[in-house]
Amino acid sequence: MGVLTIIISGVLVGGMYALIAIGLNAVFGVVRVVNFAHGELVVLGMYTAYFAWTVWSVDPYITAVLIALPLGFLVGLVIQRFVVQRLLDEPLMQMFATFGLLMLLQNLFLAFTRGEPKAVRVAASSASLDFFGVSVSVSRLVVLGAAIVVTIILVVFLRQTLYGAAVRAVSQDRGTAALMGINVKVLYMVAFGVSGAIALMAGALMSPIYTASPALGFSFVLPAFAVVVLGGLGSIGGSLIGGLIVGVVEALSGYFLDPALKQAVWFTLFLAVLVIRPAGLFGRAGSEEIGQR
Amino acid sequence: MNAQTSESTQSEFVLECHSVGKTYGGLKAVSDVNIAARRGEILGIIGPNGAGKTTLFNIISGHVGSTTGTIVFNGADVTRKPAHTRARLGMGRTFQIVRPIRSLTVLENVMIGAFHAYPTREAAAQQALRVLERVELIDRAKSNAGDLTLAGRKRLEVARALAGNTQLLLLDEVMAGLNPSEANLAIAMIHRLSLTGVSVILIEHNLKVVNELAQNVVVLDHGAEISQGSPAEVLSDPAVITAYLGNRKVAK
Amino acid sequence: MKSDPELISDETSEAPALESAASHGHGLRSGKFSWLAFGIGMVVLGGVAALLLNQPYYLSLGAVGLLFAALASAWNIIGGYGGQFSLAHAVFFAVGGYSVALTQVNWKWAPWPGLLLGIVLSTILAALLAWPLFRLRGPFFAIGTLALSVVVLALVTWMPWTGAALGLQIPFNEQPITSRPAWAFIFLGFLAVCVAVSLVVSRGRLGFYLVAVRDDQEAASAAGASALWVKTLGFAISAGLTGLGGGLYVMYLGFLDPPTFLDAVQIGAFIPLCALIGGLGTIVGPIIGGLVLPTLQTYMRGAFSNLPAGVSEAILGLVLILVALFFRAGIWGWLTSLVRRVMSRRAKSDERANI
Repeated sequence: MGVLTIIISGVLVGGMYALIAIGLNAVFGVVRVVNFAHGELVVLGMYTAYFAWTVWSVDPYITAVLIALPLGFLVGLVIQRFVVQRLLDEPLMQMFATFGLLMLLQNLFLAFTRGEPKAVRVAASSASLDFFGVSVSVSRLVVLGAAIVVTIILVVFLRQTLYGAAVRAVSQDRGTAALMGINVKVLYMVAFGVSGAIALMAGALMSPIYTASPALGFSFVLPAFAVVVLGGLGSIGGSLIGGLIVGVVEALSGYFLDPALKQAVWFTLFLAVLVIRPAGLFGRAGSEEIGQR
Repeated sequence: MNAQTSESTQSEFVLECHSVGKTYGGLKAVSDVNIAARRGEILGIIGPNGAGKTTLFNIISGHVGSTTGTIVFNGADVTRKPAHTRARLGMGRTFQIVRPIRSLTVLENVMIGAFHAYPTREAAAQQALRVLERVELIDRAKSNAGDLTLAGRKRLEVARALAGNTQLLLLDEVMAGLNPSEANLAIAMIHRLSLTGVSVILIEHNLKVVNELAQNVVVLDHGAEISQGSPAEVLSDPAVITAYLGNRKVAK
Repeated sequence: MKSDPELISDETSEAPALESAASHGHGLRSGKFSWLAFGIGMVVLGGVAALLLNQPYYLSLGAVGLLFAALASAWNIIGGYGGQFSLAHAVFFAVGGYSVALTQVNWKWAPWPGLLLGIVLSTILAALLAWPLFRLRGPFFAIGTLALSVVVLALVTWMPWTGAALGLQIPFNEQPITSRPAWAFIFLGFLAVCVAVSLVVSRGRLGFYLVAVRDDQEAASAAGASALWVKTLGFAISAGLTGLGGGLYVMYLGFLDPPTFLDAVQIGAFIPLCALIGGLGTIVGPIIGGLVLPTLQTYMRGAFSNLPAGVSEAILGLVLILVALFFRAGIWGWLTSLVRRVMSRRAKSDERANI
């Protein structure tokens, strides 16, 4: 196994982290709320794909686009409307509430699946491409591709449209934006909807790779937070690059040190970045100081 | 009720700003401002909206770091000192938008300001009561800070800023939003505080207030100081009239 | 948090003194009322424990409740008064646990110096971690602490000298206290220590500063409080107490396996949850929450034993959401506001009677 193989596998895992982190960042950067339950939404996407595949024999890639996206949008909308909207000025309570949501969803998954692992196995699960002599998993390549496509769409959307301008205004100063006639409530609901849609889609796309289990969400959400902080709050492009960095660092440390230490390595990286540049590699300075007022 | 006792090596000035500047990105919020506040005087800072008055205040109090220049407080260079250290050295400030600690009572809010000079609960409470008496808020000591009227909350801010044996009081638009009779009471209060030896720097919109209270006035426009002197001198300065009063009705 | 019932109720209890202070220039009372209530409360809890001496099941439930009441009180210093949502307290709990277990298993120490070592190490660790962690504010702090606890769990299960995933087992004949009833009283003593420290902190300068920094960091710094120093001090005190709890818990269990001490949800989030449900930023709240929540969880696990696993935890998650949405002041906050409402209604009807 050469270093190239390790870097490529790191990039592929990084694509997955990036896709999860982009959804997290859509909420984090706009609504400025930490959604601890974001990983559970990804797992919900995996179960959705499993359900569609076993019951209706729908291919998970079709589920990702046709079922997971709209369902995720709806789920995000509901979370925003019924939980987060009531807690906008209560940063501590937001964290308690989304942590509660994490516990609720994780244990509902446990109760409904009785803890049995659920795996979707389709042709893409085992297919691979040859890339400079390195075998690359097709299903992982799809996730990386999705991360890039979602990044491009969101970046273009935020830069070019009036909605994007409104998002920027609201994320900087909610009160002033509201005075300027922006419907902050609707905008937040859309942001949460987009976040949920990306999360469930990510889950469906990942279902051929991973075996869905209740605890999986928690193991996704921490690297995703690390990616958001590394890449910068509200920076979608930063999330993509941050995801790739975390993925590669994880793969390299897994190979050269010990797989058990990979988390410790990216955590050290994460803390180092926070101490040196709290706004993240691509974030605006000062944006880390949120939520306490 | 003496907030300051005589120290041997005191300079004439309680605060000196030497060519203080602050840039955000390419934008100069404050550039090359020189201010010297005499011990015991009331110094007014005026200027149109966006002239950089509050930024200058934040630089003086340490809530915003300056890009250039030095700040000398009581003869000591405090340019690199954080806000809480400056507060401990005897600098008290209010905020333009009042910021009481809402989950505490009026008394407890003032105690927060007193603790660094009076470390025990009892001593801080006694000092807070004395200060509340000075700002005539003593009868509301037990109220929740959030329940006060705007005028009350502004007094509370002044009390909290005064409580730690403060020698220099920075007042950011304490009259804004008050009705004329409340404003007159506030003017009288500031005047009284000044007589007890506290030096005051106040940002004001209302020129009448500055005229009545301040011995000296600094005028800022676009982040730079354009005039300095007694209120009468400054208000007749042509540069001030064009920059500030030319397109603005004088409050009389 | 809109209100801080403890500081307010403190103030109400001293209202008469304050009035005289205002008119005669006397100082405040030094809080004898709170200490009296503290003494009575501990005696009552001790009495209840004594009544349960012949009921081993309830006594062990009570012991765990007292432990979590103490841990929630310790967390409340930085989490409730200081408003810093630390998910890293599982780490300090584990530091205390490992200090006792490792010194006892490897070096044949008695557990008592191990306890002391645990307090010292967790306090120092918290003070060192405070510098990077408190560069983070609000949710970023929470994420940083969560990440920390996950990484520490990964590290201790990887390192051979901490017993790796198997953990550590203290031989039965080396456990000085094996009598179950004794532990209820030891944990009560631990609770008394945590509450006493909380009382001292909350009534003194640090408590005021913590609340000020929580509500408005800029205003607090303008008043002379160093936010970093205040949070560091609160974090270190809170961590030291939590380390003591971890050490005691190892002595109680007789073994240490990593997830029991370091689980991010079952310990790391559960302790803050106890404080929240009881009432954040109050003295009494975390005690109530710590006594109620573990008991409720055990009860639900029993009651739902024929339902699939996870149902009781899911209900706990739902409770957490509902409390955050509708019941922010917690049980104690709700009780005090109820009492206040009844009092003011009575006062009003008295007024009417006078007219």
